[in-house]
Order: sequence, then C-alpha cells, then structure tokens
Amino acid sequence: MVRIAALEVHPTGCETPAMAYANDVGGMHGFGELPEGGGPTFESVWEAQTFVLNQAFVAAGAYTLDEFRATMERIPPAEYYAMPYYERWLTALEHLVGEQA
Amino acid sequence: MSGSGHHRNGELQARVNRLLDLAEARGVITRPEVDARIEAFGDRVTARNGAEMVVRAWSSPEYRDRLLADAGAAAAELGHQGGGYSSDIRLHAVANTPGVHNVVVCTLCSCYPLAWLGPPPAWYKSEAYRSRVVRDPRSVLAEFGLVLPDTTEVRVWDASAEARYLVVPERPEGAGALSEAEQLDLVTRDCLIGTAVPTLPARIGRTA
Amino acid sequence: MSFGVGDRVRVRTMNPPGHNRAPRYVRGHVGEVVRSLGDGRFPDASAVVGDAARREEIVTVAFAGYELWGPDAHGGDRVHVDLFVTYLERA
Repeated sequence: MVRIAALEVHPTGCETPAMAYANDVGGMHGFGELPEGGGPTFESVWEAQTFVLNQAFVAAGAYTLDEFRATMERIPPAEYYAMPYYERWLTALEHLVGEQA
Repeated sequence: MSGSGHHRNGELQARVNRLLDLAEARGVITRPEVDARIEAFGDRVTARNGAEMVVRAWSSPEYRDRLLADAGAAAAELGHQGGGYSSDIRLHAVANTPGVHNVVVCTLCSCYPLAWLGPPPAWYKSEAYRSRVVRDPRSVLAEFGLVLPDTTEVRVWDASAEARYLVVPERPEGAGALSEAEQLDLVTRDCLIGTAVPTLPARIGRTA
Repeated sequence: MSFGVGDRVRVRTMNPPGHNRAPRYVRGHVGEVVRSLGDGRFPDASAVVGDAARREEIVTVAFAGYELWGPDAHGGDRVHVDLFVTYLERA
C-alpha cells in the first residue's frame, strides 16, 4: 500500500513557494526519448474511468483540483515514478475519498 | 510481460470498480454517466473542435482577433463550451507567426485544454516530454519531425496556473484553395499543441 | 503586490513543505511580465482549505532560455510560466 504523508502547512500560512516534489520535472535530465507513436489517450478502460471519476468528484465538491494535485505529488518519489500515469490518479483519488486499497 | 501487464490491469480495474460503486452510492456519478462521458471523448470533445477554431481564424481576421483576445468565448461561438473541473480554467490561444513558433506543456502535472479538445495524448503526459521541452524545445520538436530555422523564436508555454493553451498554427501556403473539410484535416491535435505544423499533402503541395 | 506588463520580476527562492505551482526551474530567475491572467484561487492554500482559499492575481512571465539554462539555450527562445504574484518579487 502506498503511504501518502499528511500535507504539511508552512507556519506563515502557505505564503511562499514550497519545495519540489516528484511531479516537478521541468528541466530534468534522464527521462529519455518520448514514448513511441502518437499514443492513445487511454490505453485501458480503467484509465478513462479514473479520469472521469476524478472530474465528477471535483465537480461534486468532494475536493478541489489543487487538493487532488497536492495528494498525487505526495506519493513517495520512487513509487510515483514506478506507477503508470493513471495509477497515480487512482491512488490519489482513493486517498481523497477514504477508499485506500 | 504481457501476462503480468494483463494481471496488473485487472487489479487496477478492480480498484476502479470499487470507486465507481462508491461514486454511485454517494450520488456523485452513475455508471451510465461515466460511460457517456467516455464516449463523448471519442465523439464530441476532440481535437477537431480546436481545428474548427483554427480554420475559422484562417478565413476570418475578425474571428482570429476574437480568438486571440478571448479563446473561451471564441470556442463557444462555434458551440464548444469547455467547462469541466473549475470555472477558473480558461482557454488562451497563442498564434504562430513567420518568426515565432509556440509549443505548450505543463511541467508540474499535465494540464491540457481537455474540456475543449478531450484528454491529452500519452506523450504529452510523459516525464520525457515535460522535462525536456522547456529546456531543449528544439530537440523535442525534432523528434516529432519538426525542424525549425535558427531564426525562428520558440516560445514554450508552461501551463502552471489554470490557463489552458491552444496554438493557432499558420495556414500553409496553398491551403486556401482547399475545401473547409480538407483544411480541417490539416490541423491535427499535435498542431494545436505545437509539436507539428499543418502540412499540405504532396499532391497539392508546392511543386516544381 | 501587483505587477504591470513589462516589469522585471524574480521568482522567490524559498522551500517550505506544501503544495505550490511555481516550477523549481524558474525559482530565483528573472523574467518579464507579459500579461495579467486575472485572478485564481491561490493553489497553496486551496490544497489545504479547498474552495475557501483566497483569490490572487496570476501573471504570465517570459524567461529567456539562457536565463534558465545558460549558454546551451538557443538564443531568442523563451519559456512562459503563469505565476501567482505571491511567488514574485521585483527584480
């Protein structure tokens, strides 16, 4: 099971740019060439369903897009990079709705 | 390898099934609604919407001005409402010119004008694209087969807040003679992201 | 703090824990404000308190490639990043 740490809040009340997490990859080296081909939007049904579920939970006010992003970013880096893209979404979604696997 | 991938998909599907049940039980969304939205991504909410906006801008300078001033309103004129996650998400169009080429990325996650164009392609979400296109855009564009002259300025747009970017490519020379449907086919999804430019098929391209 | 088009700004260098939307590759670097995007929910706070977060102005800042990446960057190429004004100081 992936453990996502509680979101730490800076004492000044989140007034300053925070540290970088695994998602903040702009400029990094080492990720290699782009995936081959045009790349389908979704490779499996569960990916599309995860995508739509997240939209629906945000629209229903269960959490904000920022809470979703913040949760996904706190997946520990080694696990984060090992996960397929939409598994990160799924992991964050489960965490936010209290349904951890 | 494919066997373990298959097994993994089954496990992930089972996790999603639990969430689908939970969402239905909490009144968030029903399964038929989930299916309908997925269908819309193959059908109504696609890159074709962006192509329509671009082709209209090619033929109408007034529409082009409106598109560059307020892309969300210009999209709505053609029936593409956007919406989705949050009213903070707004569409912005950036135009290529003879000396400027634009390309879009989201380095912090994978923000994309999905409410207008559908979800992004797999490569757009990859760390390979997101890490490198801000540092070395020309090598990324070259991987797409797009080699720009040294004199062209590359402008990378990193969608780090809730602005969503759409590139308005230039109309290739000779495309004015094509039908609207043929012009729409020139404006691919990658043209709207900026990793490609519209190219005329050889039979109607400039020939000697 | 508010900035106008043409202002030179530096992205603050600070690293407390928490969510934010200032990519690390622009922190400490100087760019030019090219437009205002209006306001949006401040993400650092929205990640904690949701919709109750305050709203704040966002500006698009253009950074020269060489400012971010040094001499390897192609002259003339620029990277545009949308930044909440709290992340910025006058340069």
